[in-house]
Amino acid sequence: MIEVRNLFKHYGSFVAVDDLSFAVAPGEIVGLVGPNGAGKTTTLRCLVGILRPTSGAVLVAGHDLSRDPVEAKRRLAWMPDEPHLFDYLTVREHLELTARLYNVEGAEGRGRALLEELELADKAGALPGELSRGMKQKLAIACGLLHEPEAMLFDEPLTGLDPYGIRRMKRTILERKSRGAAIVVSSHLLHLVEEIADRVLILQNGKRIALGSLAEIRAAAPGLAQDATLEEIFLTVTGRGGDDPDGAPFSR
Amino acid sequence: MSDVFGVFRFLTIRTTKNKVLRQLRRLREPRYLVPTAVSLLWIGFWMSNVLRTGMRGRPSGQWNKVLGPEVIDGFALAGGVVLLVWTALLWLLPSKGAVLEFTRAEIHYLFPAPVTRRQVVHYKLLSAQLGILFGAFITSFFWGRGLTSVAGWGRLLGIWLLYATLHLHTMGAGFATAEFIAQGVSGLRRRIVPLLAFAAFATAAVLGVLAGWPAIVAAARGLTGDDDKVTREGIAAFVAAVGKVGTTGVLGVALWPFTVFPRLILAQNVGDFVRWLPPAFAILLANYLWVIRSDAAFEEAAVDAAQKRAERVSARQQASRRGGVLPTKVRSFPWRLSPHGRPGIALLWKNLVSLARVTPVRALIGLGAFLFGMVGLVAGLNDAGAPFGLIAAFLAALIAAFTAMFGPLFVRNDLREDLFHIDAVKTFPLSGRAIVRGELLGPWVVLTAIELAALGAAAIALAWVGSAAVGALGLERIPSVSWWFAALLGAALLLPALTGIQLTLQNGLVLLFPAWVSLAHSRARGFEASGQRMLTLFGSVIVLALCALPAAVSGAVAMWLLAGPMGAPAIVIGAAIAAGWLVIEVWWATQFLGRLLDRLDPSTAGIEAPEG
Repeated sequence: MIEVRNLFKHYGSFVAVDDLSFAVAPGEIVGLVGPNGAGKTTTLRCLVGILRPTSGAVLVAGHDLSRDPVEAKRRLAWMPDEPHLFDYLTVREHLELTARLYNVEGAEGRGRALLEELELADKAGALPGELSRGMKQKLAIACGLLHEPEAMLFDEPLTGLDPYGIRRMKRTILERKSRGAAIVVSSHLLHLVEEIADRVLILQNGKRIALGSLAEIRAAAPGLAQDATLEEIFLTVTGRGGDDPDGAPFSR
Repeated sequence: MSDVFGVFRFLTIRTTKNKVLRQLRRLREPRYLVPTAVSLLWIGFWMSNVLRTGMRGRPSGQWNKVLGPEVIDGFALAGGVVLLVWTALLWLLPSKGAVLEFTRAEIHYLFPAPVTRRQVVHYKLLSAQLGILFGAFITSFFWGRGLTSVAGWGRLLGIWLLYATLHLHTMGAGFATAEFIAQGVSGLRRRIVPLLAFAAFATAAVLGVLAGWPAIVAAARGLTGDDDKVTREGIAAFVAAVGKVGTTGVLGVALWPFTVFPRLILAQNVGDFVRWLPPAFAILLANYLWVIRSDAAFEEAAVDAAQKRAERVSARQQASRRGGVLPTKVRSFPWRLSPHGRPGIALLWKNLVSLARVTPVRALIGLGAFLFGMVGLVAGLNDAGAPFGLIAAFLAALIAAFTAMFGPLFVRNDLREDLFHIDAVKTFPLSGRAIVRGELLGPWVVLTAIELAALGAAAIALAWVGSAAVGALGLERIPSVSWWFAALLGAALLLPALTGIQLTLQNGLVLLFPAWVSLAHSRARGFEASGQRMLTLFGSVIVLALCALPAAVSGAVAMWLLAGPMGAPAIVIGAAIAAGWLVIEVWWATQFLGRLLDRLDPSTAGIEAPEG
């Protein structure tokens, strides 16, 4: 569903994403983790067409994001860490805008259901300025889910959510997975990634240093216990684990 | 107090130093180097010119000689009236921006710090003085004489006193509003005192004008000499008559404090300057004491309000990279967007909703009614003048023309707003050209509606006065009123097209030079920003002229060829041809801009810093 081939993103001499390749199948969640400045957000923004890759290709359901951006984007949803809302549109109007942009069938009912699901129904007439940080995040997610995307990219989806919201968000992501969506979740919350992701992609300095299920990464990493958590894996492969400060890169 | 000065000194020096260093480092990039060079060249040229003319040693009473002391007095009086109106509006329409504005960092570091609120207010007052002094410096240079004489320095002092007092008064009014809100006083009750004061001023003004009206009318009739030309003596007599009304009686007393600063700034000799200096300082001091000698609850309320505002502004700038004023309540919008149809229309809808929610529609209608009321008043008072209908038609046509020329600069609910939402916009499943066209449609629809409404009003007014007006104004050279109607119809075709090309140009600047253009309500400062504005202004004027040239030539040729055989309709056909050219240009340009938008990379276009 999502296929990334030899993706590079340069800012002058600085390489933010360095020859990255991976794929996400329908009904699969890939967790994207890495230290600060590893290139996670840049990667995601390349994947949704906000940034132009320096080279390489991104395909969504077979549509090349560079050559056929409209068809690729029609199948995508992007949930950024910082919700980008329009100051002067109400919650309901944000959904109406999204419905028109994506030509969503049955948008009104679906929008109402999403607002109920995300507990925003009583805020339907409110402007973003009247919403809390978490509510804004929920609205951005509701907009992203309205057109039933086949590929979804979440950047820190739990930021600003209360415990109820966190639980509901995890359920929402897993429901979309069960409906066949290909999902990428970028987060520093390693327990979240460990809980919901089928495979994990670890980036460092723009490079892929690990990709696979936890079991696969554990098996490929020398010195890691068979029950090592993602946190231990992360610290080891990024070279910051106490037992293995040099942590050589690897992947399978 | 010393702590506050220390903090102020530290922050100012370090911030300025780091800012200058950062700007100097940026000069390695041509996009910053070129505008900075242009800006510095322009400032150097301008200052050398000012200094050169100042060195010639013009006498201090130069204006006095050119315009006459009565006219200078008239300017001072007019300045006083402007200040009075400004003050009235400040109290009657209190702005949320009237209280102190703190940055997020200032809130983070200063508010929890062991300093009193009063010290924080002092810090803010001190910080503001740098900007105020710079503004006064620039204004005094623009005044035309520079600072090469005592009068020049005096003018700088006068302007600084004025700006500082206005700043303090704005702050005081904001504090008072915040205090009222904290006490639960709302709506009309909160404004009852300023309303009563304004009503008293208005009554005094009306009584004063009525009492002095015969003298003003007599002086107005004496404006022209025997050869029907306006004479300097006539102007002086007229201004003196108006001045007498404004400086005597109740109105004179009411206006006095507002004329102190204009009289100080416009003082034509040292004696005058020294005479008006003490009252100006006294007014400044009174405002300072008013602002600073407030009780704790007063300050807390004000600072809390400032904090909320600062948080909102800061969140908008830093997190969402958005601009504008957040509306406090939702105004309903009559157009419900269907989920089906051309997706680009969604952008038009979005921009219209945004505009409808920030535009003070009632205030605009009130302004329109006031304008036409004034026209009626002038037409009624001027017994020898043109009929009201013709003046109204002229005014309406003028509004249409101004809307086409300047509207695209001010109605900016297009890519100029949405570049802040570039992340969201770029994920829309639309081609770049569809996004560009959808974005352009918002302001275009609004401006075109205003233009067509104004032209329609002009046509109605013209139909009302009919051909009699043409004769009354000595416009017999115009064959018939049908030519006027043809001109209006031609304008109805041409102005929307002109608006379209202007909007395309403005949005093109955003996409071509995203780092240069003032996005949303942001306003960059400094040499490079000034240079960027100069270059974009000159560039857009040149490109507009180039775009308009083929349209103007083809339309004019068509009119010239067809005017003989067809008469008035030739104007409509010529305008249609010119408009057609412009439409083709808009179509082609939006294709090009669409490709630019597709290729736009926010991280390298100067809109944002690269992310890791």
